Order: sequence, then structure tokens, then C-alpha cells
Amino acid sequence: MLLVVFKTLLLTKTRLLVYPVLVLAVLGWLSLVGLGLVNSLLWLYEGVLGVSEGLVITSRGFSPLTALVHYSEIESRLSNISDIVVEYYLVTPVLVNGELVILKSTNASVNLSSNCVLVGVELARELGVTSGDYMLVSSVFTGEVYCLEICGYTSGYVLEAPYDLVARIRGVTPGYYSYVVVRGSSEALSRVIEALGGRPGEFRLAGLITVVLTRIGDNRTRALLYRALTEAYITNFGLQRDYVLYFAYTVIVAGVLGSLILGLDVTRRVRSVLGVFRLMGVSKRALTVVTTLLGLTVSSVAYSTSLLLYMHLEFFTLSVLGYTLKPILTLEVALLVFSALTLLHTLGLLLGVYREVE
Amino acid sequence: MRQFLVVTSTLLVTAIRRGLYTTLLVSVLAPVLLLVVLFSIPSTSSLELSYLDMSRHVLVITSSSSSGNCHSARLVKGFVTANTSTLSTHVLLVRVELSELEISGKRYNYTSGVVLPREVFTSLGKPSVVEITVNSTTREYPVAGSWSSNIVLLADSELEFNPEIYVCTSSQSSILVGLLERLEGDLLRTTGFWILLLSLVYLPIIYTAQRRVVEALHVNFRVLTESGVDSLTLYFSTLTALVALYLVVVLYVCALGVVLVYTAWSLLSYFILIPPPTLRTSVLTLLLVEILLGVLVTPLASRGVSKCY
Repeated sequence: MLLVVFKTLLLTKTRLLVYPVLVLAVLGWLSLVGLGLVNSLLWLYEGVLGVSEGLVITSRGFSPLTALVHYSEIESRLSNISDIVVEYYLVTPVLVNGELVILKSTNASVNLSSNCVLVGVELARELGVTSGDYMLVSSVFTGEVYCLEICGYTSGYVLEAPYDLVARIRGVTPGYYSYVVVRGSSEALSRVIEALGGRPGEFRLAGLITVVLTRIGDNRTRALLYRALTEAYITNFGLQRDYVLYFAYTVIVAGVLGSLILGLDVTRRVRSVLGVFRLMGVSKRALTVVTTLLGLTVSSVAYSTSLLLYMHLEFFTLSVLGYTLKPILTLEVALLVFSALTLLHTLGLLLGVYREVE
Repeated sequence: MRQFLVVTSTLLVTAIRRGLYTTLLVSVLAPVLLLVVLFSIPSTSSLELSYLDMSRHVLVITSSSSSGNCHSARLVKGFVTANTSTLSTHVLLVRVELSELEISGKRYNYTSGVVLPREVFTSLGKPSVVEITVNSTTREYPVAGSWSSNIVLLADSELEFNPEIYVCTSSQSSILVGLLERLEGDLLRTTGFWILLLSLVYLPIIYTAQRRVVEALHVNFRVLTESGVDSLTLYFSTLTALVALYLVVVLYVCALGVVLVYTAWSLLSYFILIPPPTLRTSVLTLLLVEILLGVLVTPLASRGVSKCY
């Protein structure tokens, strides 16, 4: 019987259901994009610096562009640990034609002559420079102008140069780095965290972990562990990653509140059909089940359309330091938006059944 | 006119007494509340940056003269000769008196002169005067000092060249503030666009909510028609009552948003150090657009009122 009612509703009122499906689809797409952009902002430095896994060691600061750790401090703690690969990086902001760009030291495996620089493909396109050209960059820290020869290309919206040149532009003596990336097995990373003074049990040793070293004595440091590199820095602005996420989730749930009204409207439009079924002896409970099924169907179709829109439309991007942030969709975000849409829409339908059918 | 006013007020009072504004309230809650909340994020100007030492000036290279602190410049290849040694290097020619530039936090009291890369300065035996050869023209200049850069800076107000670039002086603080302002602008622009699209998506929802109000008033329409109110007056009265109700609801949600933002900030500031929220005038523009869009669907929602019963 339930199936007959459901089928009749779907077949006789298909045109009525197209309207909420379309509105819910766009609403879902906007919510996915909104939360995706918040997510990408919370992973800003990971994207800009190209760090996606391993253990990142840095010091306390407002950004990796200002934080500094000394080679000896890290080396003395990690020298006894085997099966790990350690990469040291120094990054600094520079001005190119008045625009702020990130200059990063190259990986040790890349050999470049002293005044050579690799330009990110996107950046090179924007600046209109090619290999063999010279470019003038200004150091934000020393205030001086440097002439760099473009020797090749790299990925992203950054400049890459040999460590000595970056250190000179940053205005630091050799040995200082912005962050250190340690790669290895879970056991090895666990030993690294212990050697740095942290408790490895605090985090699952997968993906990315950030360790912030804070000096608390002459030769003593305290290690603070974070789940993301950006989180470690925004904490200094009084912003907790979780609070930002909760705020964003609230915004998105508030954003799809309108689906409640759409649910109420659909019930009002199908009330005559539901009334006929009631006269035929279908119980109110059965109608509630059918309406819930209808809500789930409408929401699922709308949400699938939202996902398709999300994948094929690139309307929303955010530009930070010339780096274009695209929304990042996580399973958590996808489930939250689907739940909010479905719950509110079905709630509207059920309220409608409760108010209209009798 | 009197009949119009009486009918409008009757419809308005009935809608309020029967709580029909609830549906309208839910329909405008998301676009209006989110507009107020998202556009109240703290402004970068409210951030306390005075504790950062950013007094140093930075020589910024630009392709256009953006401010009064910019001087014509050109990068050329040249030779530096001193004590019988000659070195090939890049020379940045700047058409300005050297004393007007702040280089590495220092000012040099020279009308014209050069600042040499530290290695060049040392390898030439720390000379006080050098010969600079650029475009087969050689001229003697006093050495003002050295810097960690890899180019020679030659500043002279009488230099003759076709400028390709400009050397501007900006303080570190103005660069940081500029960056933060640009970030804030980018964030607000994206948020504004998102809100605008959300408002457009909410138009059918607002229409549905308004239509529900109209349909809930069908008994009143029948009574009013039977009392001799013509269909045109009924239509315009319904339209006016709906617009008034919509405006009141939007303003209420807007005020609610402001109160929420400031209450949340007052509570949070007890626990963490956060800058105060900033109410921006751009909220008003977007709010007006939202009101206008909502009012535009009201004639559609009010149609056929005389046939409602």
C-alpha cells in the first residue's frame, strides 16, 4: 500500500516536485561552495607551500613567512632517529612589481646557480616573463632590491631559489629555516615527536601533523601539536580552527533553512491527493512514512545535482597572495550539507502532513 | 483611498494576529542574517599591529608610478672599476638624489652616489670612489656604502635614460596593511557574491512564503469582497500589506543579526582576545538589493486574491 501511495504521488505530482528539486540543488551547491572555501582557507599554507603529508616542524609565529627555526636545534634532536627523510625549507615574502609573492628555497636535490630563480608557471604567465629574463624583487625584511635570473619553471604561484640566496633576501644568517618536513613511517614519526618533547599519542600519525617548537629555556623547547599547518599559525590570532569550522557549519545550516518552507509548500500542493488516500483508509502514520520517503527522494535528487554543479562550475575562487583558492570538499562537509538539506526539507514535509492532511 | 488604507491595515493586523509572519521570517532569515553576520567580520584596521617593528622602508619596483614616492629607474648591465679592478654587474639607475632614499634602514648624505653589493665592495678593496661604465659612458661616483643585494644602486638626479620601471619607497607597515586590506577586500567580494546568489536562490522561497500568507488570508478576502471592496483595491491592499510585512520582517532580522554579532563578540571576548566586529556600509547596499528582490516577487504572490476563495 505504501508503495502504491508513493508511486501515485510521484507520478501525479512530478511537475510540482521539479520546483523544490531545482531550488534545493542550487541551495546545496551554494552551501558546498561556501563550506569548501572555508575549508580551503583553513588549509591555505598547506596549499601555498605544497605540504600535504609528514611531520612539519616550525616555530611560533603569525605565518610560516615570519617563523624561524635553526638547523642545529632540529638536527641535535633528530640525529639519532633512523628511517626518516628530513627536508629544510626557508620561505619569505618578496615584492614583484608591487605584488606580494612567496619565495621558497629549493629542495636540496635541485641544483641552481647562485642568482637563479624558478618561477611558478601561473606566476610567469601573469608577469609575462620567460626563462632567461631578469626580474627585480624587493625583500620585505631587508628593504633591498635583488636581481634574479629566471632559469626555469616550477609549479604553483611561487618563486624558488637556492637556499643561500633566499637566506640573503630574508636577511638571516645561514642555518635558519622557516619549516622542516620530516617523512617516514608512523613509528619513526612517533620517535621524532618524542624527541621534540611532544606526546605522539595525541594525534593519528597519518596525513599532516604540525609541531610548533616554543623556546621555554636556554636549551629547552616545548612542542605543541596541531592537525594542520595553518591551524598552528591562526591560533596566534585567537582563532581556533574548530571554532571557525563550527561557525561555518552554523552559517551553512542557516543557509539551507529555506528548504523547510519548500517542504511545507510541497505538502500543501499534494494535500488533495493525500486527502483522497486518507478517505481510502490509508493511516496518517503510513502517509508520514510516504512523505518522509518523498522528502528523501527529492533531497537526494537535488543533492546529486548540487554535487554535479559543484564539480562542473568554478564560479567561486578566492585569491590570497596571488594564490587562487578553490573550494575543498571533504566527506564531512558533503555529509553535513546533505543532512541539513534532507532533515529540513523532510521536516517541512512532515509539518505539512501534520497540519494539512486532517 | 480611505477604503484602501482600511483594507490594508485590516489585512496587516490579521496577518500579524494569526502569526502569518513566521513563514516570511523563516524565508528571509538566511539571506538577511548571513549578510549581517558575514559582513561584520573584524576589519583589518582594528587589528593591533603597533607592537610590530615595521618602521623600515622597502624599495619597491613597479612598472608604473603609483605614488609621490616613486622615481624613474632602469636596470642595465655595466662595469664597476676601482683600484685597477673591473667587475661586470647589474646597475639599477635611479633618477633621484641619493639622500632621498632610505637604503637598508640608512640614509646617505650624498646628492649622487652608488651603493655596492657587499662582495663587490670587498673585492674592489673597499673604495671610496668608483667608476661606473654604462652604455659606453664612464663616470666617477662616490661610494655611499654597501648592501647585501646583488646589484649596484646608482642614484643621481641628473641621470639621462628612458625609464622602464619606477623605484618607490614604502614602509613595511604600509605593505602589511595593504596586504591585509586586499585580503579583506577579496574575502568580502567573494562573500558578497555568495550572498547575492543566495538571495536569488531564496526568491522562489520568499515567493512561496508570501503566497502562503496570501492563501491563509482567503477567508478575509471573501469577507472583504462581500463587504463591497472591489478587486483592484483588494489586490493593491494585499500587495501593500505584504510589502509592509516583508519590510518589517527584514528589518527585524537585520536588527537581530546586529544584536547577535555584538552579543557573541561580548561573550567571546571574555575567553579569547578578538578584535571587535565592524559594521560596514556595504551591508546597506546588499540589504537594499535583497529588499528590492523580495518586493519584486510580491505582485506575483498577490495575484488572483479575489479568486482565492
